[in-house]
Amino acid sequence: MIDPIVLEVIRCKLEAIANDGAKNIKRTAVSPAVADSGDCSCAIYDASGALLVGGGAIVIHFHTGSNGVEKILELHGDTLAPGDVFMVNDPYSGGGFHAQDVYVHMPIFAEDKLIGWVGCSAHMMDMGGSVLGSFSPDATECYQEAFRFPPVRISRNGEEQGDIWAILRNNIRLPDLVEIDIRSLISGCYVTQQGIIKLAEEYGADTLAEASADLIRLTEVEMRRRVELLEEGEYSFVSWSEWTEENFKVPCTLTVRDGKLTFDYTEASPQSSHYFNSKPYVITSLLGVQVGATLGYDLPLNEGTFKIFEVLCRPGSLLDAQPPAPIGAPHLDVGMNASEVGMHTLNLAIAASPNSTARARMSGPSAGSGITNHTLTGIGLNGKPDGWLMLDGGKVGTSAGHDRDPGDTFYEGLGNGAATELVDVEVVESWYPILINRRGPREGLNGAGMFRSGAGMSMEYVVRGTDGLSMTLMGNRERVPIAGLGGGLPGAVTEFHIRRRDGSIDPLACHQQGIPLKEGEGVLIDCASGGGWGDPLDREPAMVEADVTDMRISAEDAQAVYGVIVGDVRSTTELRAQKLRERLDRAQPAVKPLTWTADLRLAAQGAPAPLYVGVEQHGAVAISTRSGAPLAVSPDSWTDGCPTIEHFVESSSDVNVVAYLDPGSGHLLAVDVRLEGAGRSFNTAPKRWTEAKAA
Amino acid sequence: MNLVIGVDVGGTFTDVVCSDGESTWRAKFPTNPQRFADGVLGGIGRIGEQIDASPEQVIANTVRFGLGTTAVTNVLATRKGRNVGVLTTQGFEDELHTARNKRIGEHGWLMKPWNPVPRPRIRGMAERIDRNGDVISPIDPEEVRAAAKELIEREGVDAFAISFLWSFKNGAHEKTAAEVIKSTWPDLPVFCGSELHPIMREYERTTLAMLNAFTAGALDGVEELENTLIEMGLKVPLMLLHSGGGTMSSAEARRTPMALASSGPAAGATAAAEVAMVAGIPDALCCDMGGTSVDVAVVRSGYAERSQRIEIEGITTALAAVDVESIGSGGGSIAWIDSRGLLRVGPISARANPGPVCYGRGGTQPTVTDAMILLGYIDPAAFMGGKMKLDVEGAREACAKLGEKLGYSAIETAYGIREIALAEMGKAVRARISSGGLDPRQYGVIAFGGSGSLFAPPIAQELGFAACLTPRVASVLSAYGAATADLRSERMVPVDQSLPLSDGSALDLLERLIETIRKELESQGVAEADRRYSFEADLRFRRQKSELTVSIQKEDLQGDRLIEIFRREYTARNGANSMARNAPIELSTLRVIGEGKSIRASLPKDLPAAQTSHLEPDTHRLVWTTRNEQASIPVYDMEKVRLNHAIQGPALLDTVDTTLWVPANSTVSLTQGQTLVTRFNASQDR
Repeated sequence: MIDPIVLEVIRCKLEAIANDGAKNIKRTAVSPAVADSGDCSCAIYDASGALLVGGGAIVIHFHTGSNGVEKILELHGDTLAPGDVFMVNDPYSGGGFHAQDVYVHMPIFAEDKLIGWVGCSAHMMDMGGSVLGSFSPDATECYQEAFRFPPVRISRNGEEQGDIWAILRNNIRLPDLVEIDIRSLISGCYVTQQGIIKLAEEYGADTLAEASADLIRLTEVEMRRRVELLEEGEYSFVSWSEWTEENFKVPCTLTVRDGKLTFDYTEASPQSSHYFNSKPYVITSLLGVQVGATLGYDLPLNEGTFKIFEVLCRPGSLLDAQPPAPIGAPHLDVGMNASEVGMHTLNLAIAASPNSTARARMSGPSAGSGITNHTLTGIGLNGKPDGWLMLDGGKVGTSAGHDRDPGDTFYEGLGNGAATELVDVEVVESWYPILINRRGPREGLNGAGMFRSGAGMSMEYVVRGTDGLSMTLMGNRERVPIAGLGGGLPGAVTEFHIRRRDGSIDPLACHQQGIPLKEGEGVLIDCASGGGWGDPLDREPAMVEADVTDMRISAEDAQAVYGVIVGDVRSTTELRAQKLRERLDRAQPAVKPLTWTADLRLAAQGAPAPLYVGVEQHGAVAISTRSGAPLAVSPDSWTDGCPTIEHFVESSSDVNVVAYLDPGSGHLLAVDVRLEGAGRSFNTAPKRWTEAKAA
Repeated sequence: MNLVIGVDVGGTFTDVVCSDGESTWRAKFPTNPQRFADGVLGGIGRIGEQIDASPEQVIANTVRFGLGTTAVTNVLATRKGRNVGVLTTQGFEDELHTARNKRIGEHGWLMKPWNPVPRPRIRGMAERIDRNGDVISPIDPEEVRAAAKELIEREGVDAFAISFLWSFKNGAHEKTAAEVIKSTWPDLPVFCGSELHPIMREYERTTLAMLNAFTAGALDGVEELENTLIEMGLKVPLMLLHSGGGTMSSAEARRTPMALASSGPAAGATAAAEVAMVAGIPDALCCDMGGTSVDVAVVRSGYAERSQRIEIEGITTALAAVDVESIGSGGGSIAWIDSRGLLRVGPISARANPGPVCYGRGGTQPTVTDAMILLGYIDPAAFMGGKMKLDVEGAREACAKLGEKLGYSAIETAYGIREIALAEMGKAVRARISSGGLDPRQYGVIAFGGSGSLFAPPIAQELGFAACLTPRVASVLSAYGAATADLRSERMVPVDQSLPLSDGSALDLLERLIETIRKELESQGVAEADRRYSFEADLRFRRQKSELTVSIQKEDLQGDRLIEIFRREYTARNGANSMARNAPIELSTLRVIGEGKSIRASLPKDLPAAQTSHLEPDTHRLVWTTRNEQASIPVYDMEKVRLNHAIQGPALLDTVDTTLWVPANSTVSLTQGQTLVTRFNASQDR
């Protein structure tokens, strides 16, 4: 290893250089998505494409650049030269998230030796295909979606390749705008490349290479140490992505073994003819950032973060689609769902691991699978055709943390602070022919629990100042809500409605292209949310009352779900006790009810260790922490001894929300979200439990 | 005798600068946070001792009294202000708490920024104005009265912020609501968004009204001070240094207390701009390197650049202020070892208490200052003029203990701390270069603050700057800024017209603004001959958020001239291939800045030039210039350096409260205004 002080100085400088690159992109790009919202990234890779450091707001993008560099090395590795500039946007061949996310990659040479790469990416306003903006729910093949480049040189040996620019400009709308934004990526790459060359001159290319390897290794070693604190075994979780009436299974089994995490998604549904198919490198990139935020928020994010886990997908499945399947949003919808399901399994593992440093950051997963972006096109305020992306539908409510209520209208609860900005009402109304009537966190329970989820966005706008608009909806979580953890209730589902001029209100299905909107018609958006954490009856009454005062929930909800009668401590205590009794009365008996016997007490000897939130393993017996009631004997699932209530809360007709009760107290230990007819969607099976033998 | 006084009331010390146009005197006195007057009068007393005058005599002879104050900053930092009630457009009551989805990272969690107004104190009124300023639903005065009454009686509200959608196009609803409240409760302060900042983007307009209401009581202490000074014979009004780098009267400050929110940094940057101008380096990065942070501002053509929005305690607000970017790294930054086993420096700081280990106040973790003492860059015997005894052995032990885990000696550890601190502080400077698109070769660096002169020269050298400036008045720079800043009033108006302009309406708007500013200057006692007006336009591509602010003349509001100016400035900043030829360009905002020339302090006069360039060092000090090598470095008394002297690096220049490190391959000399300039050899191989 090189000197630790030199290493830290080099890390500081690498970080500064990557940020220089990202700032350069923001400063020189024109489109609002890049220049204003900062939808761009700049990352530095080693000669093989391993991520060293990233800059810019879109952290989930950093690792996808490795995919591009590896593809370039495969296709053009023999002919690389200083002054080469590559462009790529094909998710099937070295791209970023989707075709709109154009990547520019530049090799970095020191004395004719390849020493690294820089990759810059930003969201382009249009990359061709059947509709403006290249978001097309109606597309059934990737050819209809966008114009895709495999890695091609836009400059060769320092010479600009005009032919490539001509092909690009000929196949997209808004070519001037897109060209400038792509040039801003080139400028970001250039600044970064020069910074690295200077660094290599200062320290020597060999020292720089050694430092790069050390930085990756140190993150990996520390991440691995933290993974080794997790209980070995298997943890699984299932969710579904929806397309109107269809359901697509997104399952994950996490295996913790030998200091490594394996997220196995091979049981996912076959690829679909819808835009939301995904790719393993996309899931890896999304998941890595979340795994990093949970296990290593204080460590530099680099390839080392990614080396401690593996993602397994089956080619031809939803998560490893093959052409010509459409691939317009592999990082939203299904992709987000896959990373959430993965994080759910990781939280199951942390909950079963007494020594894990990540216990302080246990939380429901991100709620990005509920993001419902939509586009509007039509005649704009200046009388000319216009089109834009409304991001307000993407402001979902955050899943609850194990010790806190999170914020509203943002999909992540853990991370580094970079959030996509909400655009001011006046700005939206000045640009587009709509009038916003209201906007704010969605009232109601959302994901209720001891700690509740944040609220998704609720808004209403009316078409105003144009004859009509055409709307395209790309949503999810209409029927299957995001599950909570530790007895927390599921989150709210996405709801879109249209208010006709006669006042009648019709629901809208969330995957639709070309919905006509007339002047004066209103759109009502209610975004989904993540789930709660812990039994709502355990929520501090003062916190429930504050939610009522803050107009988040009604007094009726406070009473019905939280068992709180505002301002009356005694009645609250009585009501909560009554609700617990009622639950046990209503419940179906457990699969394998247990009562304490002398033999069972003998089997339960041994040091206690957590198995799930509120569930402990004593010897070979799982026990409710609160009531001390026995739940199961190894290797059965701890849920086997829980009385259950099906359809515990109201939901869509094909969804079953099942409550698992503490037989000793009636409290909620877990609340499962599953399709009607499906089995339990979560399972905790650490080796410590499955191999426990009765004494 | 006509005296000019500049005062900076800081958290620990009150600095006073006094000038008669020929000589300049300075003094420091401890601040009493309960009563500003104590520190101010104490400082004036010390000035009086230097010129053989009583405090009353000094005050009576004062023709200009400038004050930089943290009064508003403290209310915000301690988060103890008024109970604010907010009236906004119905349906948008939650926008303040949604905070544009801004999140702040805390131990891995993403948390919302602070908000001083609990949700129940925000009430929506059933009114609505559209994008053209036309009324969709009229405001109901009775609804306002009822809501205000309830907020006052039930929520204890004692200050109001009123902010409705599109009020910058049509302020009638806000005006009506304000009148209803003022007529019923005349003692309650009321702030309106359209009055304070009649510009598009409701969030930052609303936060500005809210924060003004929150800090409405902050000026009580300032007014108390003004009254005391008047009783003692002060004949001129107090001039308060505002965040935009100019001054305003206390009456004007009442109208918008938030203007004083970053009075301190603005004063420093304003003074630095003056120093840079006099030294003949009009473009510079001004770096305030203190104990806990590095604050970087940009000075162009002798003026500190402003931003139209800043962040206050995590809240984005539409306050025009000197644009300061801050990074948490300074002399007090603590060194530690992270979970990967690497040495790190900051962002946690030992602050004033306990402070670095060597202060002997109970600090146990080594800081950057401890490292610099151990390495010999700072002379422990001469620290604070020898008045403060430093515990060098304590610093050595702390470094040794930290180094043990890495297998380093105390010195190796200290050297590592210095190198990492340089890299961290360099980040703040680099960030400013890249976000502003600046060419460092054309810029100087002005360094001040406790760590400035030790760290800025090597950073400036590494990043390729032309020179690094160390002003003599560095230690009281903010007070000096208060003594030199001109009276400055600023107003703006939204235009939102496509270019080229189709009629003369923009010019009419500008003329109306000039008239408003003229009245403001008049009311603050500025004579006609001393008034100066300048104009700015904010230009952008259609729908672009970031705007380009350019200086204009009235004639520029004709024909294609604004388009030419935009193209020229845009490509100058962003490169020739950044320009979209066909994208429409807009004039979004016009701004008038009125300045009232006033009597001001002058920089210290230059002493007679030296005969030769050679100056004999006073002594030599052993300094660790690399990790394993100690070198004998010549040490000069900064006070002995005259014009004409040229000192080759490596060298150290000591004075009472500052040490300047002149790195190898550079030369330091004195220039106009008693500023030391370190120039770097261009040809050297870094």
